[in-house]
Amino acid sequence: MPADVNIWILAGTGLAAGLLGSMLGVGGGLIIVPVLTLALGLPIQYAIGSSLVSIVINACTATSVYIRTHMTNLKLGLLLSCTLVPGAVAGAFLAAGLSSPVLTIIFALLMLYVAYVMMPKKRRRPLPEQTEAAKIVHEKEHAPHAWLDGYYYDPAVNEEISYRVHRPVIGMVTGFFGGVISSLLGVGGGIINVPVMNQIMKVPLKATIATSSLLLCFTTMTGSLIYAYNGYVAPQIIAPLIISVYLGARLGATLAHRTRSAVLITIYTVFLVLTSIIMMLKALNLFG
Amino acid sequence: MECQIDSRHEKLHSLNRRLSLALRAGIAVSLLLIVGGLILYFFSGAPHTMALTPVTSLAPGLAALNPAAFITAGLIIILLMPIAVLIMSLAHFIAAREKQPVIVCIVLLVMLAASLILILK
Repeated sequence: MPADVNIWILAGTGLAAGLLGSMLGVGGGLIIVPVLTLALGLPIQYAIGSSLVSIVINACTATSVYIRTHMTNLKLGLLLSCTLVPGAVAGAFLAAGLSSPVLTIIFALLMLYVAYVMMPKKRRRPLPEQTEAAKIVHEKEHAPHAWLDGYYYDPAVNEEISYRVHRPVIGMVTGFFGGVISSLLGVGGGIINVPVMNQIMKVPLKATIATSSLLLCFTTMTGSLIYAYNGYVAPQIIAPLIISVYLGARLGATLAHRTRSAVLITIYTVFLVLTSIIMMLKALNLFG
Repeated sequence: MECQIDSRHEKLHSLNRRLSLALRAGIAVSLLLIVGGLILYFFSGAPHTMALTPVTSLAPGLAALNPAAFITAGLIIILLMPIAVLIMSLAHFIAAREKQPVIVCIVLLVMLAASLILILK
């Protein structure tokens, strides 16, 4: 059980996690876990447990908004959760068997990967014949899972967007690994689910993000239960964290329209790279 | 046929609205309990380190204004929210006679129950 912790650092961490989480669409876990371990000196298992609990409330809040606007593909979310939940259980048990330095190094590597993914890149457009060929294959493959198809109203273009869900089996297989990563490292798992749903399953980005928040509810709930049962969730840590993450997320949603996301992404990327280096050095006993 | 699809979409929208309402209500209650627990923690001179209250001691803990019991109750409500979403969805899909989503909901419910059993073991 961790001793006395600075409530202001906790509140500040939660606020930053909620703020950046809602403004950039990233999980707060990549901020909460390193700050709790580096600034407060908490064992990484406590940091992961606390992070998971705060992501549950963040994900539930986001889901309540997205589902009201019908952007969430409920059927797809429930289907993918069928493999995400066992993945989350496997990840939490795996974390219990790993030592803190190993877990810290894996976490630092994930941070570097996310920093790389978030860097702006030039996109290569597929050739027209490639997309046409892909369309024909998709039509043939599609019929058995037409019940997963979705639609939503997009106010930005003022029209209803209908879409088909492709390759749900691949989504379910990768979903399992998303669950493992989520519980193992205390992050949302969206870093795996979002690209898979958007790029491979061809779900539009807005519906992907909305459905991903529903997935987070299930994965982080499962992970939280395991960490709480093992005594890695301390009330005096999670209470200020949950409240500040919630407030940060609400504030972020308001500020999102007024802030330049490129600046935020740069700050976030620099934070991820620096923190991952410090975490790695600490794990290898080369730092402080 | 078109009319049938429209009615199905309308029912799904109604489910979405109910789910959103349930989630917002759950979050509000949970946050109230957690804020209450935090206030009690600061003003009751509770020990710096607290553990979550076991479910069996939750009611006496709440009655005794134990901060850990309040925070634990808030946490339990948050963790129950996804299960509430699942049960409400299952009831909807059964009523709408949509076979595949019903199977998915049951499988997920079984997965969650199995996870719970595994955790408690």
